[in-house]
Amino acid sequence: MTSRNRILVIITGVLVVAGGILSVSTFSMAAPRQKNAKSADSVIIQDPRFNFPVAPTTMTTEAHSRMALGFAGYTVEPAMVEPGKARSVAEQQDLEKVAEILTRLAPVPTQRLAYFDWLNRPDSAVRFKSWGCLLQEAKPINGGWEVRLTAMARGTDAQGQHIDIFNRFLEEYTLNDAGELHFVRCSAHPDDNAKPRFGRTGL
Amino acid sequence: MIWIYKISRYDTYTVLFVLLLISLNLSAFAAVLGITSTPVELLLGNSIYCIPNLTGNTSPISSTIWSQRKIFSNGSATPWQVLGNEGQVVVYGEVPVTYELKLVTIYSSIPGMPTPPSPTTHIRAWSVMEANGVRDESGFNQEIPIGNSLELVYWVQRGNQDCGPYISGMAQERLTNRFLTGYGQLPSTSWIPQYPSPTFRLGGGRIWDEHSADTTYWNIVPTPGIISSAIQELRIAWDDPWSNHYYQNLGSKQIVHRKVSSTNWQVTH
Repeated sequence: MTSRNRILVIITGVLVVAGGILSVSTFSMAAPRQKNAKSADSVIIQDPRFNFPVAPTTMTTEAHSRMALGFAGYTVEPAMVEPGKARSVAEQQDLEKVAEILTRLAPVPTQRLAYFDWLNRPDSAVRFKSWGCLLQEAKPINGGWEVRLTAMARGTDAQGQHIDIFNRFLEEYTLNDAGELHFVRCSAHPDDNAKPRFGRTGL
Repeated sequence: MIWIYKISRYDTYTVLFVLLLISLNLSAFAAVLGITSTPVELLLGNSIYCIPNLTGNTSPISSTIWSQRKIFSNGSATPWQVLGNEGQVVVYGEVPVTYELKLVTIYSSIPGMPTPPSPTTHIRAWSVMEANGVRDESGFNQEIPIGNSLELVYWVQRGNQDCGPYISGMAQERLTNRFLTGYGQLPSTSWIPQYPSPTFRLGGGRIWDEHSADTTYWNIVPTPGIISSAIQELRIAWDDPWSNHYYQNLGSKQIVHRKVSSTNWQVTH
């Protein structure tokens, strides 16, 4: 091999190595973007505590997770006794016990998220703050309770002041003695016309 | 012998006179005894007026330096903060902590004495107890036209005794058992407001709580009848300099918005 050929071989080798390094580095730079893009597309909040599918909704990832996951202030309280009805001591104790468990479990089915999705619209006058649920019934069944819940949202205005949200979402679960919660069904409150209803009660 | 006796008696008088002068001089070096406050105790929201505790023959004072610090329930304390160097100072019991007041007194030289007396330091402490209740001041049972708001005013109290006007912190409420006629039950609120609000505030030792009646279901509320009701829990939230949060729980009251006529409403318990 002449010295000229030797130089050509060396230059070719250098170009091959440089090209390889360039392509690898480009690939590795692109990889995280690809990963992020994939995770942004799959907006799935999968919670192993529930046995129902959690599907993507129209909400953004940020809004979805803010409403769905461990947002501070989730409460479940026994509903007041309706006029003309009575509640035994045992029933009241059951309600308080189940309310405490549900507050800890803080269930948020995706249907509820979709129902209150309007709170996440950029032009919404009220912002989501936390969930406030009323426990209507905890009916003892074999190995646990059948639970009826009215889920409501608390809101704030742009200044952070409290706003009441009057829309209601009805949910039913079974809760077994092991503390496992199973979703049964849900629906909008029959009095709701699905339009956003919010304001200040004056209290 | 008689002469000697006279001399001796003269000496005795001289010695006594000198001793008297010395004792007078010594008494002229008497230091400040402590801090005197009026009133004696410091109650939440009140102030006390403090002066050095002087005797009639206290040495001339060159200056007094007053400093204050707060000691919190967790044991932490603020640095000493100089309040002034006047002959008196006012301490304000803004929050329920232990207030310590330090008085450093510097004395003037006395003619005939080579050096002035050494400065003295006195410290006095007052533990300010938390507020634990409120009493109605105004706003309840007033009939006003629908559409108008009214302001409920509560005096903050400690053991049925009114606290003073200098309480510091942010008033907060939590509404539970909320019921709106025509709608039903609403979930309890969290502690609100979370930021200072003109419609619910602490000022002058009182909580100012603005109310307005919900008119959504006005026409279906019987006359007289209940528009809405709730249990109102009250507290004062305040922070120490390290952003630790403290709360003074003021108890709870039933609040009812009542329709009293076709045009008027009121707030009752």
